[in-house]
Amino acid sequence: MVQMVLYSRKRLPVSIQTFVKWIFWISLNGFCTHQALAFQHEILIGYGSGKEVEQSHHNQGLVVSAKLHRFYPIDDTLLPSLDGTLANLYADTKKHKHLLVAACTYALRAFFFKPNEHTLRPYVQASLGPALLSAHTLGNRTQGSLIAVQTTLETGIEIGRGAPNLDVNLRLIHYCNIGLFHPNQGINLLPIISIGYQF
Amino acid sequence: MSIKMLFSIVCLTLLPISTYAQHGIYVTLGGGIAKQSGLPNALDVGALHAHSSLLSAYRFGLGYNHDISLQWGIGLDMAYAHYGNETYHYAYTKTHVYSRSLEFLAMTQIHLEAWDLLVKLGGIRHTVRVTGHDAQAMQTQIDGEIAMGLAYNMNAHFGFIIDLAHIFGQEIEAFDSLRNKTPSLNTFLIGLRYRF
Repeated sequence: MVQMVLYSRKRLPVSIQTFVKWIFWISLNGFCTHQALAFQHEILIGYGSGKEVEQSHHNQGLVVSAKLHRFYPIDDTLLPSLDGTLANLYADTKKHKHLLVAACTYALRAFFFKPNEHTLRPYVQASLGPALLSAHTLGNRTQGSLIAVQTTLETGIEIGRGAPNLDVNLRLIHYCNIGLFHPNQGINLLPIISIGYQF
Repeated sequence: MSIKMLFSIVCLTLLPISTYAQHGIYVTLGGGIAKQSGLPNALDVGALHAHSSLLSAYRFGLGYNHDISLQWGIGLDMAYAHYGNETYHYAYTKTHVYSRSLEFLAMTQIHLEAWDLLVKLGGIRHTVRVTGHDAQAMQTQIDGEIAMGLAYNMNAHFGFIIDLAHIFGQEIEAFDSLRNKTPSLNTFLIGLRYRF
């Protein structure tokens, strides 16, 4: 572990200093590779189809994602990782029918039980990170910029002990620009069913 | 180490330690009272009178708690909730106004023996529905929410919870001017929490 000394011109109240140091140590742990996990990488291939939220058209598409890097576990049941996603989306409208998205997100996977002790490991996962869109509009939904934020909410189950393992995953994907650009109508693909291979 | 820092550390160690502090996923189910504020008066919309249903709220929650120490945990709380039911009575028809939300809250809790004190803060996707006589298209806004709660842990898994929450909204003069506006909400919920 690398130790850094924090300097500040203005002395912060004691309780805030302690809080800042806690956040620093937790974040630093998050960037250290943990080799004790049975697998380090995962590839998921999924297909999603569903009605766009508050719209009359449907979106569908193929989504390929991967766990590019697993960080040190935050605790017994919470594992952070860096995920990459490629999505090829279609809308059943006359115009603006196609969208390609590439995203890199920080994901937190929370297991219901300690993952090292069970063959079947149900989990929920959330991820957030920047995404690059190939077009401003999909169907009737327009984003003000090609740069967006991808947010996912996922649930699934990992199957197996040691590598390789299987992962069955159900997720929702949301693209928006969190109000940084106008318009910010949001693009959704829900639900997506994926099968993953962990190695 | 300054005397102030040392004193703070000693005070923290003297806090009663919860035997139930742990990391993990939890689910909550609660019901109770929700009051939508900022809705128009009955006379303003031409109704004879209006009333609120008393027990008109329920909330399903899913969250994760990570204990930084034996006394202090932080986490995320997500929930789907139905709040409020305001009914406006006309001569032969009615108008119903209710709110639904998807909530994403940052949570912190302090463990005190078998009790947990919770504070939540975050944003919600707030949808207000007006149906019946004054039916309008759904309005959805992102609103802020602040909540406080108290949990009593019966054992390592089950606990009772009480939640008080305020969701920020706007004043609504009339139903036909509902565009981009959602009412504010005050809720009081009682429920159960199960920790895995």
